[in-house]
Amino acid sequence: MGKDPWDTPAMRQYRRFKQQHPECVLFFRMGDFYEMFGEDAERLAPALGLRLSNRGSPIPMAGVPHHQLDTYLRKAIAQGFRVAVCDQVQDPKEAKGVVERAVTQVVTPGTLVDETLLGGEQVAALAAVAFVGEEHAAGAIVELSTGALVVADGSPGRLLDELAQRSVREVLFAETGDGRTPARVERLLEPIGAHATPRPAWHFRRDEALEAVREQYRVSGVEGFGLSEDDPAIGAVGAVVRYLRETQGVGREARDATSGGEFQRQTVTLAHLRPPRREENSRFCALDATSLRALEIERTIRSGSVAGSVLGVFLESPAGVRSVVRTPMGRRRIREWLCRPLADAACARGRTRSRRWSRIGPRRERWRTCSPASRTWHGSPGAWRWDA
Amino acid sequence: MARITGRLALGRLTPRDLVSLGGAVDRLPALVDTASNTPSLRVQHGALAAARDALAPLARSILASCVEEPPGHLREGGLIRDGVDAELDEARGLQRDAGAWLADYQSRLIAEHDLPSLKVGYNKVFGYFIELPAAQARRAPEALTRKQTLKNAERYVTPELREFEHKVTTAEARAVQRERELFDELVRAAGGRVAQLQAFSNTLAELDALLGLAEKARARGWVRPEVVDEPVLSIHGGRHPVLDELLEGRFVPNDCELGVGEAAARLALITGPNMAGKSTYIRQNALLVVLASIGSFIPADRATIGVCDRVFTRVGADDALHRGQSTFMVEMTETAAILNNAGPRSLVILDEIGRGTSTLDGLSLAWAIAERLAGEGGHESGPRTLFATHYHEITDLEERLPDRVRNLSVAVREWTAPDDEHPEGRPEIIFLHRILPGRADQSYGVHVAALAGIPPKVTARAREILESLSVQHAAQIDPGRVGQPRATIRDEQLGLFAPGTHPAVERLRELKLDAMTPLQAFDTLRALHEEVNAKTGRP
Repeated sequence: MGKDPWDTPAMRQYRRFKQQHPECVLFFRMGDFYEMFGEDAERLAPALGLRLSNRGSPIPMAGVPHHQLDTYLRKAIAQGFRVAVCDQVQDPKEAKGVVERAVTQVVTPGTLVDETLLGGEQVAALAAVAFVGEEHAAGAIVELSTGALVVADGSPGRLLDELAQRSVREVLFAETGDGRTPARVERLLEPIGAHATPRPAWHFRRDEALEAVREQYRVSGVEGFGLSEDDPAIGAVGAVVRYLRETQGVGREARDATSGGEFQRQTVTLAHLRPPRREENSRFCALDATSLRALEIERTIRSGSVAGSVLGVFLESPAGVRSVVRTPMGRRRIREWLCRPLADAACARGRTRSRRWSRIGPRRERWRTCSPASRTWHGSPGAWRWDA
Repeated sequence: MARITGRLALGRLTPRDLVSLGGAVDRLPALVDTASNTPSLRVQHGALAAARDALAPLARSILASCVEEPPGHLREGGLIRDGVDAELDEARGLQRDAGAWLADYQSRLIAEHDLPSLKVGYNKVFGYFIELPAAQARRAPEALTRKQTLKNAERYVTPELREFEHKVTTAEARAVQRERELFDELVRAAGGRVAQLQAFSNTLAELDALLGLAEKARARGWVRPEVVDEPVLSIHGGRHPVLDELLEGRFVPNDCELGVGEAAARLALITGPNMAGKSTYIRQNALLVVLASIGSFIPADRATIGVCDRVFTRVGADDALHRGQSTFMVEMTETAAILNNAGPRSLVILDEIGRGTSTLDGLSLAWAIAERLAGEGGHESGPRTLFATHYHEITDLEERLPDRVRNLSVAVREWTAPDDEHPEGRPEIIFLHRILPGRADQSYGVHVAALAGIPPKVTARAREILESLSVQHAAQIDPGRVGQPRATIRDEQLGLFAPGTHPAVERLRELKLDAMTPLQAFDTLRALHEEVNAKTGRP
């Protein structure tokens, strides 16, 4: 005995990464497995159906085979875990001592982008919320896969509606001294089944938030975005931007999504993140979270499926018949429209007008036949798609 | 597209993503052509043309460089076409020629050493080797170095074979490396076009969604609603968008009119038996409003729909989502939100409010809520409201507030089914799913119970109980006497105010308060008080 099992070269490296990502479970690549240690292993093993072992060491551990990484990531994310994937970034043959490793990917419920983790029609958005007293709440909602960033504020109930309409799966909030999720945050999460992620309170402070925004967008002020520096939403925008830069590792080397675990580099820029935009709420009809659910707009109450909901009317079709909306992004757009109807008759009429279906309907088929992709529309592997 | 662009900016682009991107952009010119022939797509046409100009060179270089069916990853290369890059071609040439060289080498060795069974082979562990059957191994020339002994064969290598192997494997690695570089170059080029790609995918999403709405409308024969800003709702022959499709035309269409014309009612009270379609009806109208508000056609004969600032719904309790709160508490919390926030431009859908508590509590609450939503108190007009309830007592509101409340009921046909056990037959009902003006006179709960399979003995007994209770109930609750809002009604007083039961009430009614002095009023009150107490036996 005598020697601290945590004090081996590999475990020292492990602890260093763990410190950098304290809010995450660490998947630590060792040979053909991603291993979890200690508390991570004890929490994840039952959740993922893994065997907890200690291989002769007092440190509990559990591992997943590297080729099944995505499967286990999906499972972990669905249960609200955040995972930092730590890869070997050096050929073990060339290593002297411990092989060099790096966190190459951080996966959280609200920041999914890989097709393997987020189906084409699914939306998983991330939000940061900041409260001004009990009666006013501000939120920044971002859909990382497309880069849309929207600012919303109002009563907590109003914000909840917004989070529900935009399929928010993860909510960042300023952590409190006692380490618990405040009740007012809990009230935003529970009705929509989103997961809470505590963040340091200073991320939400005005000056630090402004700094994060300036750095991301390379601007000197936020007025150009239609926000004032004293805007209550600034804290939320700053927090969400900081979180993305941190988890996506801007300036860090990314794990190539398709190299099957082999390390390769591409540059992370987050260039697709659009400037924060405050949605003009008077333009939209506020379909509150209760109505969204009760009217079965995007999923049924009983089974939670799209089929049988209003959305399903547009997206589902009998076997062998193409659905009327063809591309994944078109399908996401329909969902967005249904969850956020217009409150302005002229706008709604505009959409109807831009659609003289009797004239363009037949031509639509030509769009599909103008490329090799028309063979298979929703993509057998290798087929060209308009989106993924 | 949108997501691929996202992955591009996040450094997670796959070879397949890259080729998809090129393919999508490549189809732009055809799209632009189509859009230019369609006047109603003028806005989209502009956006598409701009995207075409900005992205065409990128697409050209992607498609010129990459194969049509790219691999999912670059570990083994296979993305870049032949003839694109000289260095890559050379490296690949070496690999390709390997087979020919090996065949040639094998025949050379056979001829040189007269060993007809000699073979040159390859496996993953040992790389290239020369194999001789054990019987001929003794004749192996010196130049061959023994590597491995198998059961009935020996394997060897030569310096020449070693050198060849080295050349091939480095060529392989070089090819993959070179492909990686070329891929990165293309990714970098695409990375500089993120904004344009986003604009393009945004336009595509919009087009696809609009055309999806259009195609649905055409396929199902939907009509264009007249969408207006005024808070009206007028739907003729409306159908439930989901059920209509499921029931393949057997869905019974219904009309809905709220806030149409001068001083028109904006609250509809829908009564009728459970299961008859009340809930479907109110949801259906809400959904048609939503569809109209996103700019879709709707399943109806014709409609005029005013957009809403908010839609509120309070239908069936959904307990799983509110652990730890009673159904009734959830119901009241949601209703409170409605009463506090619904304005004249809102739409409110209420189903069976007050169900979670005792009948009398529930009725009283539902009543008061309906009054409030109808805008009683007169300050402003209430929201458009569809209020389904099984408390048919509330339907009296229509008489009191004729310009604000309208009664609707679900049509039901009663008939007497032949029954062996009952010589006089068994009463049954048929749901017609049609909404008609007017109130429902009873709630048919027992009928529904029978339909659901409650044993006949139980339902028969229930009918008996119902009859006797109904008599008492009618004597207790007289909706006509509920009176104006703010009258306090307590359970024990209901008996007192029942019609014609107590002379004190008659006298109270006849008092002319304006003509009385305070003293007279007090004396009268004392007299009434004594009279009432004497009757009920209290001191």
